[in-house]
Amino acid sequence: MAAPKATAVPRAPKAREPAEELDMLVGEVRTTLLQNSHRVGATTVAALLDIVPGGRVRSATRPVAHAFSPDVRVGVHCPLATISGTRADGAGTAVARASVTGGTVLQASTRARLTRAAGERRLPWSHYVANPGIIEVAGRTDADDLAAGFLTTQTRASLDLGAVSSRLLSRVQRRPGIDRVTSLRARRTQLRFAVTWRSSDSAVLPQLLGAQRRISDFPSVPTGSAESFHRNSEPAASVSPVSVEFTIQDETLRTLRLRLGRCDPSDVVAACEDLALHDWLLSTVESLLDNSRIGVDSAQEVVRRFRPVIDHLLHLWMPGARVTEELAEVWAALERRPGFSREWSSLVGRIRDQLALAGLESSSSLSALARVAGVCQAGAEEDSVGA
Amino acid sequence: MPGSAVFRETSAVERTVEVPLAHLSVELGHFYPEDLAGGAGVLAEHFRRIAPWVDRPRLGSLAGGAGGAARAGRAPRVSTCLLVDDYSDQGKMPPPAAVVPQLLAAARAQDIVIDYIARESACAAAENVPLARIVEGALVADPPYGANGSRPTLNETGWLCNGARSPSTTGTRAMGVAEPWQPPTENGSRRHSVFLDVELWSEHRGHHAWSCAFLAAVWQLLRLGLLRAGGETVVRPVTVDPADLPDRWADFPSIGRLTPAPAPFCAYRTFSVLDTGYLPVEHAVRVILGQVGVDSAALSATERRAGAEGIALPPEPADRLSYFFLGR
Amino acid sequence: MIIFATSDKGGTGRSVTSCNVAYRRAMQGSDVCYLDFDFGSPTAGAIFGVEAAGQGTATGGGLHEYLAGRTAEVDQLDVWGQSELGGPRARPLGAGRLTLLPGDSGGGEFPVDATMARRCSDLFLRLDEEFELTLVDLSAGRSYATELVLRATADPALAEKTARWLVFHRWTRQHIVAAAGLVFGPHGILETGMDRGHRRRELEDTIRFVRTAVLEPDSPQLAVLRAEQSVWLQSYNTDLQKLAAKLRLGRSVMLGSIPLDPVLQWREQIIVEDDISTTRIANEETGQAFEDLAKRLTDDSAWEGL
Repeated sequence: MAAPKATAVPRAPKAREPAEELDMLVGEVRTTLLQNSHRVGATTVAALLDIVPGGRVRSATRPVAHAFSPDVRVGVHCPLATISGTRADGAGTAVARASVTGGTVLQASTRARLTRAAGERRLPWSHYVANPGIIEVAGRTDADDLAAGFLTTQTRASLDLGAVSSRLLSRVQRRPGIDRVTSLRARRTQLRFAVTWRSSDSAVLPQLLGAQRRISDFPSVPTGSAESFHRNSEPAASVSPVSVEFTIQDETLRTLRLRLGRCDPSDVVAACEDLALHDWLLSTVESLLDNSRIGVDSAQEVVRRFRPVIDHLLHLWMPGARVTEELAEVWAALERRPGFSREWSSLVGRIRDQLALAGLESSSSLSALARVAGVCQAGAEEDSVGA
Repeated sequence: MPGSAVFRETSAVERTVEVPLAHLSVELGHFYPEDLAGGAGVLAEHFRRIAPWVDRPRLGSLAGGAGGAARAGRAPRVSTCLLVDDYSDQGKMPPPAAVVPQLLAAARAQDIVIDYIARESACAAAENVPLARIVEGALVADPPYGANGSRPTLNETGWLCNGARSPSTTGTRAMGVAEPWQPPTENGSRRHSVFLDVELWSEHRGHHAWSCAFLAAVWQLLRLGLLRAGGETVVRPVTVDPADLPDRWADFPSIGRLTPAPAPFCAYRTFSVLDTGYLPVEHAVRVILGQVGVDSAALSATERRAGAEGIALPPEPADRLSYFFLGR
Repeated sequence: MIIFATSDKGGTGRSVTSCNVAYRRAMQGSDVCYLDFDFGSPTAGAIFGVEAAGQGTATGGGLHEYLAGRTAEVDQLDVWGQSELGGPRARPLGAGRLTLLPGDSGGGEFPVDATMARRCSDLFLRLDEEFELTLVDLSAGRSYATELVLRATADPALAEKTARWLVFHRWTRQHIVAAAGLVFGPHGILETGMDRGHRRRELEDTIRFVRTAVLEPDSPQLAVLRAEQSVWLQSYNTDLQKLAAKLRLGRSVMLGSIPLDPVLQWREQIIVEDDISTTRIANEETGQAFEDLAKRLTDDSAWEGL
């Protein structure tokens, strides 16, 4: 039986020459505060994340409580964004999961591997359903084109994994078991990632290096205000196993372009979730400090405003805690520049200064100060990455 | 790697158990209360008609073609089963003590062996495992072109189709452009569509009732050994003594084993011999199976183990089903 | 906290007052978002001076499209960054965020179904994660917008969220009668709310009234009136107060009173400090009334059950 032709589906442009191999990973993590008046215990977290009947919530208690839901599959059939404007269509399934860290921070990540479709025609859906997390790409385009397109030029019609993550966040936030009382207001952040693989025996390696130079010459940053941190773990001339390009696109969107040696995609997703968590901690604490009217109101008033940060967030800073050895290099590169832990230490320092001031303003609250300062101290000592 | 430590928490690791697998699971029929009310004559007629189609050499050809088992000169592992509908008209089905001996006798008269008898209500929920809910939760609806992840695809109405429905004309904004009627379309069709919309369940006075088609899809997945709950198996046949049968179907096992050492209940492929009246139901089963995201580990295990036996198994569950439909 | 702004009749100054209250509240340091649920005429962008969404947004990412399920996310426009309100396109020091979620240009009213109500409650929950105040400006009268938010707020997931209603009316006989009808009358907010799963008493406790374009008899603006006019005005004002009290719109449920200000009669705009102290096109009392109303939104003593 021949594969039936897709009706009402615009045909992807015909490839005139055999397309090169394609295997890459794209995804988006969204991070927010779990809507509950206090930290949520492990049993409740397990119930919150039990979103797939017959699935199994997985959890770890060390170094910080972390649990994630079974994978949810989502079918897609739509255009894929490319930076060159080359037409490309994707059909298949993405997989999403929700996770809770420290009983406090809720994340949802959606990911898909992009592979080359065997033919132009869309196959019966059962084919795609049997290959979860794989989206087959029809169209003459390559991995770098798709990666740059996915990270920076998404349109309303193109693949939107962030929307899947966002919907999953909302789904968990409205489940029973949490009271939906907010202890502090925090914005949802988005981390979009695209990963390609380097292997020394791969024929595509020279092209990958070439493409990387192109991106360096024309930064994939559309807005003038975006900050980009591009790190090669070693000089580009040698066959470097890891290259990391982390870009802050705007107040909530970050993009991460990785070129890695062969490793397990699920480990990469875990590393991206970990990075998104810490980026969210930085953004949230920073914006709270910025809006706490330091120097305008009394230090006690200021401290009252960021009290929830001390209670709920400071102890969550553990960069790289769930990252495998192969990917530790990604964290290490980001610690060199922009220097996540340096920035965190500086924020914690500002908090500590306000606490000290508040203590001076009111000697009666000295004991409280000592207690809270102790928390900050512990947070600062955990700054070091497993370097 | 020198000096590297491994730290693992068992609750953080994924695991999926494997199940014993036959080559072929043969379904000898699907019985409603009225089929059994007709007495021994009706049953005898049923087994007489299907007998030529379920003889062992024929079944061998379905089990995996010129596969390894045949080459090795061993008989393929084939198990037989049938389904008793104790779900749709609860209470109408005569008790096991009356039905099971009738079925066994009618089959024996045609030299047909019944290895397993299953209850349809067990496809809804078996031993506190909500099988139907698990399968419903694993549905990944076939997306029409344009589905980019921004909209939820699975609707909450309890229906599943094989394409795109005719767009609703309600919900357009005031003074907006009126849109003309458009036909439904089948995804991946050739020019013309065979559009099918399947009712998965209905809600009546607070009672959630699964449709026959949906439970039939669960039944096929059970037989293919592809269902798991939390990574654990959901198929645990229990030996039944034909001389000591319960009076209520609720006391009969979800899957009862009636022969001493049959081939496993689950199999690489299934074959169902059914009345032609089941054709639309099984069409629906295929539409549903084509949209169920089964446990990846369970699915790949079947392929791997079939491969080790020299059997090429199609990757998609729906392609592992074969049918024989009998007119009246 | 979610604040709904509604009115029975058009022309009450509901939208312009709501925008000004959102602006004041953000200036006071709160993170505020403003949702343009005036589906038949989404013009909040024009009031805020956000040109990209003067008559609704054209990107296809407005509230109409979101509620209809045609887009996953609603455009969030940073009012500070896209208008001159806070100075040269920047957030003023000490101010909170001020974010506009616009309607779609060319959008109209549309009937409501269960999935739309669900999307609406999802949106409220989501905005409440990051904003202290979600201000929703509804279409006037018995509208689909009002029906939609009554259904959305009846969602059990929103049970712990505080929702409050502001009903705007001008200080005239017809407006007082109409506002009372919108709240207490047949198919009014209370009756519809009960039908959608709210408890009448609790819902009623969340409703307050805001009088707009009010001429206080002792206002310096009236110094030019002839004696006869002044006497008539006094006596008619007393009549209106009696009527309002009789129709359950009395002072105890009045959250604010916005004086008549010529500038707002001619141009719907945000009144900034410069308009009062530098160019002096607006009255100080108007600014003060917005400021007070903004504070009272979250002042629980003004919202205690009666």
